[in-house]
Amino acid sequence: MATAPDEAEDREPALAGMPALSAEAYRHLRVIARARLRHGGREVLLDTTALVHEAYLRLAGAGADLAEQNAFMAYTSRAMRSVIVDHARKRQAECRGGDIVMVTLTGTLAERAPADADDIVRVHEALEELAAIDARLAQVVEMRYFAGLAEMQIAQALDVSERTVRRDWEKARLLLSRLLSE
Amino acid sequence: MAKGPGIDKALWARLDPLLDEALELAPAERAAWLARLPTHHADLRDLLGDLLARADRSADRELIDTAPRLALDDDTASAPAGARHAAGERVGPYRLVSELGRGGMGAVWLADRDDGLMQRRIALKLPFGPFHGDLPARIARERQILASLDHPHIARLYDAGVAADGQPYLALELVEGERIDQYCERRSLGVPARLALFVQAARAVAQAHAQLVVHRDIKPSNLLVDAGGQVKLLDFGIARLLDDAGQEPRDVTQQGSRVLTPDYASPEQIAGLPVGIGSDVYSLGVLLFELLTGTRPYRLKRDTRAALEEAIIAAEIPRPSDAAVSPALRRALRGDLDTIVAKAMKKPVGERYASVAALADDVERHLTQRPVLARPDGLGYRTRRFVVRNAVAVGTAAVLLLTVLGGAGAALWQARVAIAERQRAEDVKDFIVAIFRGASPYEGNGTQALTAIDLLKQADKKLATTLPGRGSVRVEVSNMIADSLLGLGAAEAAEPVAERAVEEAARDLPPDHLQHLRALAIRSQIYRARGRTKEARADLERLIPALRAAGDDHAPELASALMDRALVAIDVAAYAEAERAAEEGMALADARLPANHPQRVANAITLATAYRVAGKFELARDVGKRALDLAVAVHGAVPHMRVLEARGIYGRALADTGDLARGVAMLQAAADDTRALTGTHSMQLGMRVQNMVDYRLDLGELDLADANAEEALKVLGSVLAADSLPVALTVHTRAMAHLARRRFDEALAHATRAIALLERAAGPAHERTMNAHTTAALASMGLGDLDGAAARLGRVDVVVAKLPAGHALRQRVALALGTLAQRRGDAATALARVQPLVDAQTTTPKAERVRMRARAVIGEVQLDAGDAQAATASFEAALRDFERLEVRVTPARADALIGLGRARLAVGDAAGAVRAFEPASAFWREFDRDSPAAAQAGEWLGRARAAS
Repeated sequence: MATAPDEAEDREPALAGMPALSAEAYRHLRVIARARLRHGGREVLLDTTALVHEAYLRLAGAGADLAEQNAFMAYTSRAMRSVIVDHARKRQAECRGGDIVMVTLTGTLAERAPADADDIVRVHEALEELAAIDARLAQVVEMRYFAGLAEMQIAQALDVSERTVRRDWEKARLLLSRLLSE
Repeated sequence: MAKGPGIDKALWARLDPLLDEALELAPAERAAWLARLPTHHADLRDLLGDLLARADRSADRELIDTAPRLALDDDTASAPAGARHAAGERVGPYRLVSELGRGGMGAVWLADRDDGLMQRRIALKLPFGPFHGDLPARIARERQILASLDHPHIARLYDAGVAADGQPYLALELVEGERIDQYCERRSLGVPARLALFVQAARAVAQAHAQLVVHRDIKPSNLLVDAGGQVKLLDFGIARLLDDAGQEPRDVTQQGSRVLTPDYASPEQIAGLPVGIGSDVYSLGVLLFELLTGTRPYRLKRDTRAALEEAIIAAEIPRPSDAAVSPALRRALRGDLDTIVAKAMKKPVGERYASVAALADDVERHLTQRPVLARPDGLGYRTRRFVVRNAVAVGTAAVLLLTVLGGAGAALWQARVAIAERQRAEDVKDFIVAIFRGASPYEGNGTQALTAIDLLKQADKKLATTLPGRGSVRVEVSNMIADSLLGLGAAEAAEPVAERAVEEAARDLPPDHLQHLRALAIRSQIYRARGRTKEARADLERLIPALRAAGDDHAPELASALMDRALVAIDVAAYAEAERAAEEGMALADARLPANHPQRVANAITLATAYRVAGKFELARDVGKRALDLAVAVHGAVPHMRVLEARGIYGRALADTGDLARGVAMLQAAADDTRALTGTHSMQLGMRVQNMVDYRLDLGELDLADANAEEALKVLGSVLAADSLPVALTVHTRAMAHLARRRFDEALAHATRAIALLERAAGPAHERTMNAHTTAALASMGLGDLDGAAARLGRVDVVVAKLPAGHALRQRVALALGTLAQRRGDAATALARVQPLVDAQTTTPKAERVRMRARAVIGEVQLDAGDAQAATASFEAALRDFERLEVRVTPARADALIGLGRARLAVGDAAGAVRAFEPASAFWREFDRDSPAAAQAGEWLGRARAAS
């Protein structure tokens, strides 16, 4: 992954097996990723799905077929993970030794405890290990945790049942928990 | 939990199906399942146990179940030192003192200007980046415009720039205040007060628009209210200043650090389209909704632009009245305010108010009970408002049309709110149509034109038969008919209508229903006009506590009711009570009603009247002046009933405080304008004309006084009940005019009639009644019936002894008793009565006139006693007063001249006597050539000429 956050911000991450995205497409994905970061929390899961769809339709046009859409979904999740982890690493670098200063959006929003940048990086690293054990479990986590996709959306993108997604999520969580506590 | 060995792919291949199996089971069964694990999997037992235990640990669940949330680098990190400012640090020419707060947009510091140029404590806003485009250039471009925004309700932008390290800064006026929504809630402000605050804000926005600055981020947190109740609008134009015009439309999500909540954003703003003043109109609409209901019309999730766009377009904007938490509030919001908010929040920009000024205007129209422009189905509604506002002024048949149409409009509109009443509304419409058919010369009663009063009476009669049933519609229509009849002076016809309205309201409506309360208020006014003061008072005793309980929402009605109570108290000469009620009404109006609320004018007029009748003429004059200024401010200089009333009371107070000529001129002008406004048959005209009589008598304008008294009696007699208090008073006024002209027969006849009327309308011991007795006694005296006069005055004397020493009526009675004693040759009694009047220190115009007359009486006494020298001095002093105070020669003045001539003749100054007799004789020849007084004056002049 990126080691120089400032560059990573503006550089398309090289993702194996995925077509290169245009600068505009990548910029758009960054917008989505930032929205994820700002809002966090489960309550926006479905909205994010819609958002990704919208992004895809904008990029690919309405004529894109389902397989392409699914591939895009996976790609989007990967890209978002990349962006988020970059942010988190950058934050770690900035706030070495201190707490992360949160700028709240407004006082009225129910504030959730923000995910610590360290947590994000640790999940990301554990996810790399998980991918080595079971790639699909890692992808489910990526799509849900980083991209905030709904189970249905993930199931569609991975061409499995929702039940399988739920089960995968549960197993992934158990493994990640263990990996993280190591 | 002990950690097991690392899991690799091969191990996972074994674990995976086992885990699937275990997770199928209920958590409680998993321990047994583990124990039964086949031996070839025994090595996995610990690992599986560890993993399954994690399935139930919520801490682990939360670890990754929550999507990551993190402040964006460009929110803080890329803003130069965005989060790292410290007290004492300098940013541009400012030194930071302490952080006031921070939000998504940036941090705000209390700061001092610190460049030796000026000392000023300001709020320094330090926005977070990133800033696209050339921010310094943009700031330089916009700063001038924003800094030129100079409005008391806009927080000034003093300065803006970019510090050396790239940190942009905005130096803003330091405003101490509370967010407008919290301010309203914490003080539980009523609707009018909230609207007044809103208008302040809207006016400020409108002014900025005039300078082509759009706010773009109007929301409660940008509106502060200071301790003085003054609204300050923050961050004007700053959203634009920091925005990137060069970029493609930005997502609200992307823009999230700027548009903190999309709930106040206009659809075009959310769509990323160019925004103009229409966007501020929309945001103000949302704000108004929230101020009125305490809740927002909708809440949008912070989301993608597309989703927001969809949401805002799909969002059904509820009516504020539907969002109201209490029935009272619902009623207050229903109608105008629903309409205003709906128009401000129309989705297409073109359907909104064309300007914020138009929005503010409409809110003010609502506040002042004028028709708002936002209603599409205009006429019926506008006429209703017109009639409510001009309830007292309606005076022509043309207005009646509006009245009845207005009633229909109101009823129909109300019915729109309640489906249950829709049918009834249809009935009302048919009913109105039937009324007009009846009025048409093609139908019904031939060629005879119906008067307004006839039509209203017909309307009422038909209401009973064609609009059966219950509910607020009937009461409302009845109220309107009663109110209009009263306004037209037909109190007698109005009375049964109002009584029925109250009965039906009591039966069908809750006690705090506005139409119920209105019915009571109108009935009390009608009772008062009918001279039934006791009943009027009883209604007010019920009404006022109910209105107090209703709280701020009914502040105008309460102010009005307090005014009515003051007026009723005046009628029964309870002046202290009148003053209290009038003062409370005024204080309430000042505190709770907007500056330009018409009820404030009415309360000021009433307070001036209360002061006036209590003899506090200076106060009356000052409040009268205020009433007039208020009236002109509210209604404009164009003749409006309230302006005329204010001119009436101010004119009277001016005259009372000695400025007779100016006072009468003002009254005359008011009377002329009233005639033009209401026609020749209105109570208002009658009152205004009547009010001039007394002053004209004091001015010696006897012909004009006589003409005024005659007209007043004719006008009032035609529009008011014959036994009403105003008519009774006017009959007495006519007696006074006759008395001044020495037409004693007519004076006695009118005074006697006035006494009978006043005894009924005001009470036998009322001071007005006593005053009429005094007039009657003076007339009797003029007719030579000294015993009759003495008997009457004796009774009056006992009653008025209770009045304060300087009271005008007491002085008048003392003068009359002195005159009577002099006529009877009782010099001692005469002097005892009149000398105190001469010695009195009071300088009111009335007191001075009494003193002048008292001097003449003393002269007569001295003449009777043969002390011609002293008599000469007394008459000369009296005549100096006449000269000073009067502009015309009157019989009274002629009498003093005759007295002076006689005294001079007695001391041998025949030439001096001629100089005195000549004007007296000339006056009488002119005034009443055939009168005994004329003959007598001629005789004296002849004698003096002969002697000289």
